[in-house]
Amino acid sequence: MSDLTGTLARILSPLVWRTPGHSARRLHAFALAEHGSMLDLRLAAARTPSPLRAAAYLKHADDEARHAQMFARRAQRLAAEARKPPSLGPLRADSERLFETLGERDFLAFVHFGEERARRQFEAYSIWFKGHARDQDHKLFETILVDERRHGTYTREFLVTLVGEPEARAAIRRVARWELGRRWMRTGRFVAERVYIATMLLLYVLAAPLAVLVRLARPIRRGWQK
Amino acid sequence: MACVLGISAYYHDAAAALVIDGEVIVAIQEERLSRIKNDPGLPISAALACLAYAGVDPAAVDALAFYEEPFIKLERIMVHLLRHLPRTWRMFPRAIAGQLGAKIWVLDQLAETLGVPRARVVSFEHHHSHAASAYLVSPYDDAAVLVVDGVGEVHSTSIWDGHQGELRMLASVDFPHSLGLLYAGLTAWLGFAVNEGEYKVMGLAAWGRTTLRPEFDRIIKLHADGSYELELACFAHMSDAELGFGPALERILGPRRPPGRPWDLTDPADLRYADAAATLQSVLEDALLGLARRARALTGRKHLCLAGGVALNALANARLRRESGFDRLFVQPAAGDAGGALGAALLASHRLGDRRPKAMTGAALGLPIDVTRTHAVAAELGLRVRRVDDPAAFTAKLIADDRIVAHARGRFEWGPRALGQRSILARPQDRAIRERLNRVIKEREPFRPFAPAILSERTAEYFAADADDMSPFMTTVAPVRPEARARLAAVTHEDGTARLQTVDRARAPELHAVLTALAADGHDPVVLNTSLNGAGEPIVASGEDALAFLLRHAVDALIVEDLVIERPT
Amino acid sequence: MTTPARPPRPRLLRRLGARARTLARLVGHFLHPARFILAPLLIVLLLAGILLTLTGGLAYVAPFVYTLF
Repeated sequence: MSDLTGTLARILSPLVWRTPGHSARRLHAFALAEHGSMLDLRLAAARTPSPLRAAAYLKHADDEARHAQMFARRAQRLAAEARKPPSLGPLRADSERLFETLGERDFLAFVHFGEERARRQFEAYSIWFKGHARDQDHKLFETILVDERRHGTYTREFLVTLVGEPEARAAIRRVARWELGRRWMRTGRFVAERVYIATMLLLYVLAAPLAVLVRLARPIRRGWQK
Repeated sequence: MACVLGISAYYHDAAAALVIDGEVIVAIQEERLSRIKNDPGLPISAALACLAYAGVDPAAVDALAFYEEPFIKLERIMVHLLRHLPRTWRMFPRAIAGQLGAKIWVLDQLAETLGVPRARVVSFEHHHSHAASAYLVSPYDDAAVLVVDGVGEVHSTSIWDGHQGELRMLASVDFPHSLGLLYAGLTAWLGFAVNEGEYKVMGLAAWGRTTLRPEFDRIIKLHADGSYELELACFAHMSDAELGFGPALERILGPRRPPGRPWDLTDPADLRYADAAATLQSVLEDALLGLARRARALTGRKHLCLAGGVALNALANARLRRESGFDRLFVQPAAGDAGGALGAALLASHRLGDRRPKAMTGAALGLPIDVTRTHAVAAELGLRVRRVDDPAAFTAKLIADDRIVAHARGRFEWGPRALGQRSILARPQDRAIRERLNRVIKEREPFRPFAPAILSERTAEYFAADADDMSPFMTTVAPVRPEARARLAAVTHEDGTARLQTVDRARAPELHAVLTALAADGHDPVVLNTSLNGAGEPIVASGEDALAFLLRHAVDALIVEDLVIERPT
Repeated sequence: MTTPARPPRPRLLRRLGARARTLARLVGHFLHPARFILAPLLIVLLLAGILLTLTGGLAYVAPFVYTLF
């Protein structure tokens, strides 16, 4: 697997971690990713026919829940240090129900791919924090990396046991392509969302005369209505 | 003889409920399966699980009933977005996207996803669904029904007459005037999350005094005819639904409490917030009393059913029971939006000619635990697992030994309360147990109380009240007798009351067996009963969920049917 | 707890047909005599619907992996 992720993470670190406020937002986003991952793993534990894999997914989900809390707590502390404290929102992700969407083979491949990517990214951040005397953040990522390495290892082992080595490699390549497509869609949606909001605000302004109509046709009603 | 699936979705607390031949077979909130608290998304997992539990193929469903009228809701939202132009500019894009992107197509989505012919998908008005969810499963032939929530399509409060299985709406108060949104706005002002923090506000109220009445009189007016009117400038539910209150509220009550800041009720600033919570509770109770009296005047009925999210306010329900003039009160345990799924199913069932169901005897309407699977996964996790012959007696012994026990037996509960099927149980005497539970296991604010479960026939020995139609579902409170407070220290709230659950064998057999075992050994037949879940999580449903809970939380044992599961020493 | 399989989705044309019928009912709702005065809101809804379709909506795609930037 190429180390493009680690390289990009290293290059972007000065930008990403430039202020406490930016760091807080980034860590909060990581907390949300961990929480979402936890939800998907809990679903996987319920759906897999294998008690052995269910147990592994539950342990993994437990790790993700702990990571989410660790990231969230650090984010709160950094937010308090920021000149303009960002509003971080609740720790509440959605689940993509990936186990149901992908099936167990591709789910395992996806989790493995995700954990390996995260590992490279976090290793880059950990080195950067150490080099910039940000010991608390360095320690945070080092602690989490212990689990990420284990997650990457067990998911590959399970995948190979389930489908054999050649099929495992094919599955990992397949989900990597799928994730690339999703990243493309996320970028597209990022742009589309802004276009949508801008044009809707224009529509809102154009709809202003209807405000008069609505106030006449539907006044606020007080008290009992029959 | 119809098979009807009811659905609530897209606002908060999505759920599915299956009614066959007029009887409620199974009802499940989506959050229990998705593990997303108050999951509002389309409850496909819950719906399929209901059908699978009953062995019904989706194509065999006679009607799929949705709890709301999407077009009327869209109309109301459009009207209010434009009426309050330009303040609604931030909400406008997302609100329209939410409606046009998903919500107006919900009936089609349900048909397609569940494989039910579109012609069999029907919808009912929101408050009608709520009213049905309470009245049709109540023990009353005739009753007044009061629905109080944030808002449905248009109504935020409605009065119904329930007579011989039929419901007729008599009066309503409409959006934007809303007691539910009043409570939600103040919940946000107190720094809690809306739709999750309302219970915390109710718990906080006992720590304050009702000294802010003059201020609240500027926020809401209660009229002699039972209606009410909000000072709309104080609220932002038209322009900022996430915050729910506006600058005018802060000018009256002071600045919002910062979310997430730890509570210190020795601090005068926090005491003032507690006073606000207490005053809010008092105002809400007065408002509900006015509404209930109006309902009695309009209907002439002796019994009252309550529904809508505000009906989960157990303190207010107790006051209604005492002062409203009704002989009996009933609150269906899933009184919030999840209950709309049940109500819609019952209305569709009735329309297809089925009789009204028997009165709801228990809330254990969810799915059972797969014990074999749980045993296997627990073993793989390296946990200690053993079988016991008498799990109730074993649980009772652990509780008597001051252990904290996670208890997962039977089908999981319908509604937000744990009633013994998915509960954490402990001795009710010791405040230290309460502190350990609050701090380490539930990670809750220190002012939050815990609730007791007691053998129904022994209620009057410990509480200044008897069991009634609400107490089996933990939807009311009762004063703890002064002489019993020392023995119930961990479950007696600051104001001397407890939100009790009265337990009888028919409604909660597993918990009844534990309480009976405690009594047989000479202990009080009372336990501290709190829901089996960690902070911010839905209540546990499956064996895997229970094991996940055990991995994260330091309870002394997990009981799953006849399995005792413990962490390795 | 095993989950029952989801039934297969109907074909695209059938889904579009169902949407078209819902759209017709929506138009009928606003053209009803009781709320005819609100009919101009349909124009807002129509334009918003077009914008939403063109921009792909605001569907959620979770960042399961950690964003770099």
